Amino acid sequence: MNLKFEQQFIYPNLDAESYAEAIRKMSKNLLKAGFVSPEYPDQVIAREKDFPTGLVLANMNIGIPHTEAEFVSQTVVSVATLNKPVKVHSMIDPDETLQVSMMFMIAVSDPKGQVKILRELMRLFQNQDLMQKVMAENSANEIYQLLTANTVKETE
Amino acid sequence: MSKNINLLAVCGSGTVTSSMIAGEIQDELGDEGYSVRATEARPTEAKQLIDGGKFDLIVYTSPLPKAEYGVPVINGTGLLTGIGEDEFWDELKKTVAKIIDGNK
Repeated sequence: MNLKFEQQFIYPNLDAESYAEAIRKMSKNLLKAGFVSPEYPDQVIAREKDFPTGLVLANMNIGIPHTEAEFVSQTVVSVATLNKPVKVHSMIDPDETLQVSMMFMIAVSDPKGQVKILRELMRLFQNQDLMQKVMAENSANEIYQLLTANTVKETE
Repeated sequence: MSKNINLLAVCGSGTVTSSMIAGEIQDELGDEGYSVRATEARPTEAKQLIDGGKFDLIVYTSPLPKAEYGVPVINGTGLLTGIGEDEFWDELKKTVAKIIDGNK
């Protein structure tokens, strides 16, 4: 299984006053599609308190909210660029806060079996050129094209 | 002479980021002849697992509770973000070489 994005889970220029609000908005389509359980958004938000998900990359900060696999029935990565930066705590130093304008909400139903997907995602984060381009895009379709074109398909 | 390493990868949920880095470590060290067995865990589970005595080192992306783990503990966020990644690999490789030497 390879990392795949879907336009319905891509949200350019999302309006949100907080990380939690962005997470709830991003969760709506996942809930509708039945990919995650009803507790999913609450679980993702609750997890932030103990294990925040802000990451400092080379030239921007991103958030990668997620929660345990038991709340996910189908693996999917949702992407959002935000109109206004929101505050999030740093994964490696929870006392530190960062501003993020891009979020990748990672819902994984089988982390052990889907390590390849996670690693492909990690490579995308490290492609600063790509990340800048995605930030600048206003259409879900364009973002979808960019991410898909840059996802390295690993062979078994 | 086998170069076996038992790695404990620690992150908040014991799943997503620890899986990301465990996979990378297995690959990279595998290329250098190491056989790495990786287990993922939450920070709260780390001490108990380490006390069980089966791990050679810990790599973490979420902070570990302060404790005497008795094994090398390395911050793996550089691998995740790409920042300080070279330093991470340097430290990791030096550490596993010492572990193997110590086990001879």
